[in-house]
Amino acid sequence: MKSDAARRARRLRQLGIYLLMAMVLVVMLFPFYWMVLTSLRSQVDNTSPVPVWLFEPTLENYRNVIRGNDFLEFTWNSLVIAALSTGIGLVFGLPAAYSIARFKQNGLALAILVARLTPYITYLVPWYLAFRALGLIDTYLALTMTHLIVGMPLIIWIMISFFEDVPVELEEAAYVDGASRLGTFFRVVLPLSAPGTVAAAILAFIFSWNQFLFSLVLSGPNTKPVPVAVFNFISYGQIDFGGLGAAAVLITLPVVLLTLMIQRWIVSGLTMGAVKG
Amino acid sequence: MRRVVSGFVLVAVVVATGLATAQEFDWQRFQGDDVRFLMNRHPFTDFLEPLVPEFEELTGIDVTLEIFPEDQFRQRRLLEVSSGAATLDGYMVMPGQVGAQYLGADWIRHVDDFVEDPSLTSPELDLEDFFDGALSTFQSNDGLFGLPLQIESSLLFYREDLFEEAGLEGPPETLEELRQYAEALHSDQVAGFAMRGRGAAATSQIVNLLYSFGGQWQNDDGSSALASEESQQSLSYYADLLRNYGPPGPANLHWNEVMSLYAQGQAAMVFDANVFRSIVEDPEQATDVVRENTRYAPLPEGPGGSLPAVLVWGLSVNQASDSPEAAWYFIQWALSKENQRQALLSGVPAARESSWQDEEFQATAPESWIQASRESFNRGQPDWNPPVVPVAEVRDAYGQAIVAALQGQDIERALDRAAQEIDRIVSRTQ
Amino acid sequence: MRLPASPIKMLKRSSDFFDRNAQWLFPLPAVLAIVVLILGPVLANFAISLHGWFIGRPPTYIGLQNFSDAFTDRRFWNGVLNTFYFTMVAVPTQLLLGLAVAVLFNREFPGKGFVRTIILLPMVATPVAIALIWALMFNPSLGVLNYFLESVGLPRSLWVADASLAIPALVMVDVWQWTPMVALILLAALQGIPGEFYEAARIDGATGWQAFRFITLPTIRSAIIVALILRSIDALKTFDIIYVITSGGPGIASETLNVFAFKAGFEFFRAGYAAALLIFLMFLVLGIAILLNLLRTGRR
Repeated sequence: MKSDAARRARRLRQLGIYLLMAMVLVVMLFPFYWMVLTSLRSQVDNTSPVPVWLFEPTLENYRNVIRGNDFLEFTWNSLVIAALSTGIGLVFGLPAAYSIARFKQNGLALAILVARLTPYITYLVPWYLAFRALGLIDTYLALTMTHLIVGMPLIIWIMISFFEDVPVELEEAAYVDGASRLGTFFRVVLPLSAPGTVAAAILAFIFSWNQFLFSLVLSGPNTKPVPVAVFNFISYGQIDFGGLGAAAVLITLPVVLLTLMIQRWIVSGLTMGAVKG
Repeated sequence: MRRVVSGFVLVAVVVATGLATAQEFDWQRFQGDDVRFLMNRHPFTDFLEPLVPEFEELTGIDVTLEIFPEDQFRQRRLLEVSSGAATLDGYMVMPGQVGAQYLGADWIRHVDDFVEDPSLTSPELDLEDFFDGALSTFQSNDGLFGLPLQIESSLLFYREDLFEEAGLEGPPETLEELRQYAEALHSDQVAGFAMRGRGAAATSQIVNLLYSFGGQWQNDDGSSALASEESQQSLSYYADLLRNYGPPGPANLHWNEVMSLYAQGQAAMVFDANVFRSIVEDPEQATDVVRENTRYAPLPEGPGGSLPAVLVWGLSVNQASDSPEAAWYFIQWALSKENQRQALLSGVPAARESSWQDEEFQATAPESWIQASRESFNRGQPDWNPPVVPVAEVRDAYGQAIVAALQGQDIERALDRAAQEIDRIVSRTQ
Repeated sequence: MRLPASPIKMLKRSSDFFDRNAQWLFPLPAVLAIVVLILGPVLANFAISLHGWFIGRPPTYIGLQNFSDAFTDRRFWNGVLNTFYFTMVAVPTQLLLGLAVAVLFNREFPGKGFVRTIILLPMVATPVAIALIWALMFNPSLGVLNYFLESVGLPRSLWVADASLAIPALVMVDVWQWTPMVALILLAALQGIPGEFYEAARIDGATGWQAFRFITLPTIRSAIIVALILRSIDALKTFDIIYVITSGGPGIASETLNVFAFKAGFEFFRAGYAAALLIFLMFLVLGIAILLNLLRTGRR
């Protein structure tokens, strides 16, 4: 009797917990759901004072966005900048991270942390003035260089802990065989930390893809990346809700896919190593 | 490679024009060039954009119009002209807004040398045809620095059907009457009156009230006159009107909010630029009732009279442009007699006298719009912004007082603060 | 005549050189990048801040005028206040909700891996896109949030169009975006607590609350502080969502120091003044980071 009631109470409790969990997930996902919904509705449905939940989905918004707005060009710009800055970030960042891990260069680690903590906007006024003087506004060079500041510290910070996990004995064995530092780094250390490198690279890529502030000021018609292009959608005469939704979906989609690929590393990256994946 | 080719073309063209001596204006002279213009997302731009291929075919010049919503457009333009980008060839500009700043920094190219050169300026341009008041805003001490594309003033848009229902006759003629009308028309569903309120963006509208209450931007010594009695009266009239008979959240209204409220039938009267007639008449943007029952009236009279501000938008050549001649070609074409006529037919208040005399226009445009617009031009005040260099910041300071007033804060204090602020801002750049 | 050294030897010698100096050669490119792209600009800011510089005109040296201007500028203090208001509401809310979510999800349930992925989405999604969607939802006449309010019998709200609600509404977006990160940090810490702790507590007759209060909280304390530090620093410099959703409006009701500095620099074109504001912001953020870090190390 008693245990029956207890079991029921436990089951109710269980149910309550699942309900709460479901609620949390619904709240978390709702804006995304709304984004997709908006992107699939016509302007009439989108501006109805009472939300239209059931409607005939249309791809018109996507068509308009892609065709009418050089969206492919912006995507290309975003890709180029993100790929270049991530690539250079790896070339510069991996040896630095290794060096910090091996030689316990804590001062350098701190400097990189400070660079990550300082508000990005602090760099922007001098950058703007310098790039303006050098005629580098609206060039891939300027955007890549600035995005490097987003990606490189991230790569270094994530990789330090990966390199620390590589057993020193393996490296020493390589030295005994006559390998150089550089050779050992490439042939022993890097392969062992490949998963970490991939995760760091993807995370750096995502952060460059999402970067808004630098691009807002330093990009132009030749280099305008997607976030700035999407920003131009707002306060545009009568707001084109559907187009906005479609653009938001298109810009978010690659990020979501990449996240699915490396989800267990992302936490460690976002928290600057406070949590390991 | 292309530069070599266009060089050849240039030589060929020069030789050819030399032979043909002004027989016919050579539109193909800069074939192969490309020009880029920064444009405000504005009815004129909407009108012009689909016509651009015509120009490209006529001249062989490749045109890119880069279009941004107004706030971003200003910011973008400032960033580009100040960075000396040679790839920017021209832009939309309101001399009354940034003329002092842009001329002072030498960001605008004067075009007198082009105008005097018959091989660069089509004989059909006819500068005389532009309204004096419009063309003169593009004249500095050093000459002409662009051409006006529209002469804009703000009008009262009102719904005749709602007026009849409320037993009101004709448009309000004084600002006091406007207040009474707004009160009579106001209900939960339909706001009695709407007008811009979003800080800096509202300054270009509220200036109409400032003038009509007898206020001014500046005192004789150049200091800000916004703390004056008249200025206080105008702001308090404005705040009272919007707070009591306006839509919810007036401090958030930019022109697009104002116009879509009106177009959707949620406001009985609005006061904004006459150019937005194009929105009100667009079946995709405005409901049928609104389209059929809209009438226009000039700014009602205040204690100081009815003194509307006139805004002139135009096109200018960027100082740093690497193909200024091609840009000038584009401007000439965009503002030709025929295109200005078409622009006016589509609702953009063109800057050419001949467009307004056009029979087709007079037959199709609402009579009240033509009349109210012309009346406003005649009484127009040119300085719709204080004539200072750091204009964005000054507008912003005034805008803060406007928002404060809409939030019910003390108006005298808000304006005192704004005036002091503006004096500080202006003194910094002197 | 001496023979040139064999290529192999030269290679060997250069690699010897590299090995001997690996300590500074390895990090050299990264250090150079940091010096050029970060240290340079930070130092340049100090120089720029000593000038009255309206972009487009030549700069003039004015000493510390920009700083004294800032301290008498109402808008500067408004920005400072808003920055703290935003941070001090957003971060504690995230910590509380994040803790609740972490405790809630700290158990076995079907679809665990899937849920962990979903939780990541708000923080990796492009902030501009997120901000735009929230702006749509906030729209006073057409937004879905007002529809929700009305359908549960509450009055409509102006959300970001209301000066007194602008910051709370923005906080809402920030909380939505970053609570998951707090939850994940705390979840990882929770999973590190050995189950025996709780068993022992139960044997001693502790209630669930007591176990939470005396076992859970003390154990994850340092994780909480880490989350606090990370979030505070990022919240202090939030730019994207504020700039996209309100641009600091209505008026300057939601203008943080960050946004004000951006406007000063790139809308009002006052390079010198913007630099002064940014120096202040930088010290503010770094100072708070150091302070919070002391909290962590000092009481360990």
